[in-house]
Amino acid sequence: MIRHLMTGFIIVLLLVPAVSVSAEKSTSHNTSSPASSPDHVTGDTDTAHSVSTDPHDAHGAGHPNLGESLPLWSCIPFACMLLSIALFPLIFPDFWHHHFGKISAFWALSLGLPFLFAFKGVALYEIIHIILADYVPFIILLWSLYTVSGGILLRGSLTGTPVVNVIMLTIGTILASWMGTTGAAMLMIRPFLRANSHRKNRTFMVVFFIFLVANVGGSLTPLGDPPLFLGFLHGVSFFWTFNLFPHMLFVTIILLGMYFIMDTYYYRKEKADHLQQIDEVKAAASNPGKDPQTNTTASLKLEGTYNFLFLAGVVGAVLMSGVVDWGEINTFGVHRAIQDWVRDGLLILMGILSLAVTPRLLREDNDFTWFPIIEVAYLFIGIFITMIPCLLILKAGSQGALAILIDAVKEPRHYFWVTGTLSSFLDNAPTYLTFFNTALGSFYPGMPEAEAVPQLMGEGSIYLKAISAGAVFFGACSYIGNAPNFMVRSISEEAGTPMPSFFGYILKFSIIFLLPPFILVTIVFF
Amino acid sequence: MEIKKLLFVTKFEELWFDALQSLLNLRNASLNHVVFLNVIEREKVAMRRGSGYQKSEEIRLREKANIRFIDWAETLFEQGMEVGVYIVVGSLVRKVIEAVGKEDVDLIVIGRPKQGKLEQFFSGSDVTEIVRRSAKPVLIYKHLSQDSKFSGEPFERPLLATDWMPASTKAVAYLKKLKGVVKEVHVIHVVQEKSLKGTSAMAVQKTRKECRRKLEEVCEELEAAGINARAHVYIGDSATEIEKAARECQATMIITGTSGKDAWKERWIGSIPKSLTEKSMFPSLLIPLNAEDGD
Repeated sequence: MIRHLMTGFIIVLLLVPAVSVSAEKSTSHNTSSPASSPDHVTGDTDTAHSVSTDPHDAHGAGHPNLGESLPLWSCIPFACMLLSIALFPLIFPDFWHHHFGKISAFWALSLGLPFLFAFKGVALYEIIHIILADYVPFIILLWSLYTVSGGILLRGSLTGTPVVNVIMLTIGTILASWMGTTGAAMLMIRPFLRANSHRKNRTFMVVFFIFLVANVGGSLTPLGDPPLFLGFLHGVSFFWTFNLFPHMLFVTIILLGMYFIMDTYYYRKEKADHLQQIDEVKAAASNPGKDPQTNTTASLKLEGTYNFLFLAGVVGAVLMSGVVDWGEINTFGVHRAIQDWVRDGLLILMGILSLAVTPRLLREDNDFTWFPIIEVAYLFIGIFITMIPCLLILKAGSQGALAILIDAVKEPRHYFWVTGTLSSFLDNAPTYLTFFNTALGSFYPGMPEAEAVPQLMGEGSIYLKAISAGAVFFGACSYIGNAPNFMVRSISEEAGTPMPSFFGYILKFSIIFLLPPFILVTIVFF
Repeated sequence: MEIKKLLFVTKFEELWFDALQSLLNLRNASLNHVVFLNVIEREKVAMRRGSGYQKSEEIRLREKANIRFIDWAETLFEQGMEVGVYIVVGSLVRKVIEAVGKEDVDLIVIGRPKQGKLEQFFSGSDVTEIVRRSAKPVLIYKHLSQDSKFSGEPFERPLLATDWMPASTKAVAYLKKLKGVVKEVHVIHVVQEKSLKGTSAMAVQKTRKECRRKLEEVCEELEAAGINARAHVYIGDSATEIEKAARECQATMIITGTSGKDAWKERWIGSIPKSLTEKSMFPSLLIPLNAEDGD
């Protein structure tokens, strides 16, 4: 199966850029964000497209009235796609595991074929556009981050006292914004589990690890969490996400505080219950790096550190694409900025260099597997294709079939909670993009994306903050809210740490520990 | 370099007990211990979206493998052999290396790899990685007949491909220890076509005679060890000509030394052992340069 998955993956990764191109310099020039050179259609007479400078071309792409004419039921495949991702792994886990690619393809075709039949060239353009402008860079970034961070291994063990655990969670939270939540979670989870292998109550530790490292920590840069990178691709500048720092700090401090209290309580309780055992722990605590169970020294050692250079390369490539303007290339009728292709090429290069120089042994010790990134690649092609009508309707604002949603979601707190609630159970990346477009359609109907997004970052920034924070923070609410959640769960269970069930996680942890901070965030910031 | 202990790696997909039975004439070369290894791929039990680590699935797969191994072990016990079993979850290469380390086996037997080109590009070839890291000979077992699924005795009539490099010398040394198993060896050398370009007929003949002379030396060495050997010279692409020679000689296996070329370079430009592993219809025995010499 892997062979087929890989084949599909490479079609997108490697072949798509190999098209006939014609370079031309963009007429508008704004170096502040990628939106300065928006993806737009060429003047192809076979389709009803117009170039992005056409005032009728809302948000710089596609048929001027398509979003207004599409019916609400055209969003059904998108809803089904997201529900499939949410429900199949719970209800039919084996079926899902073996057939998720087919399910994704089914929903993509269920939208794509009728869409092509009804709107022909326009539909073809929209599909190619979303693949080139959103899917390809999205997957390439995730792949490169996953590949590079998978080459870094933290060996050895600390002794899991409350203070040490808080420090490890803090480090993971900080790293998450720069190496992605998946990368940070995979780097830190095994040392975290090893450090606490002697502890009796470990479940809550891993749950807080998911909250902080696998989710909240990823809110500071577009590299941190997939939704924010989608925002970046649509024109949100790289450093704008630093505006979420107060929100992130606020939630992190509350969660770490709660964690420290709980960990201290259980640590003392375990001491009282197992005095003899804790003597060993004490002895180990006075001698950092000593495994309390085996009583052998295991000093901390970071291997594959050269991958941090490639990580810096990834950050630099993404940053570069946001600040330079080298003109555009026509690819299958879609104009993409040259710097975006260069960025994608550099990201692939960083991944390949990481593969080349990192010993295979190190990746094996990391239990590195391509499966999670392949799964994401297959699911997101379905997500992106099925979400085309939804995005077009939302962009049409009150003229579209989702006017009721646009009219209902008005306040920042609405955006925070609606984006968040849906991100808890559906994938947070498409949810982010949905409400990002809801905001654009609501506040700047008919305005090209290149013009609307800077305004959303400026005067409408509170809405964008609410959408971004909602998508990132609420991803922690369930195992399916964000990809690293289930990976951390799996690794923890394999290592012998009992984890709550799907609903147990929500009822015993998310509702109790996440909702109160989110309510406070709403009161303080939105 | 006797074969006393053999590691038989199977996923129960294409390598079954009949394959092991066809290797049991290695008892004439001191084989008395077989270690079975079944590696359950991590993806089958871990990283499941929505359901976490599938402990019950792991147990089920372990028991399923165990049932087969018990059955096989009984047969081997009856023949007076020792048997060991490992059923583990994880990466194939890592688990094979671990088992080799624990058991100090003399030969690893594994099925044809089912990796796609992309998977190999990303992760490298499992088999050549095992050869590189284990420093143990690896037999990539293949069924010569698709109908009967039975390949006879692979060690009966091997074809030894040599390029005079140290790894090839190591392969010759390995073969010499298999006197009681090998009936006849065909020793071949493939001259690269590009090395003959622009040379006269006389020069070509000179090259052929030189190769022949070296091959005869190898044959004499083998015959001194009690193994019949015949020399052949081929010209062309190495992997293609080796395959062609194996067919012409009705060989039961191809043996070649491997120098453990850099893994990354191998991914880009390939290697003869990699090509034989993946494309050849014959069982292929790869002898690493750093294989231990001890008896």
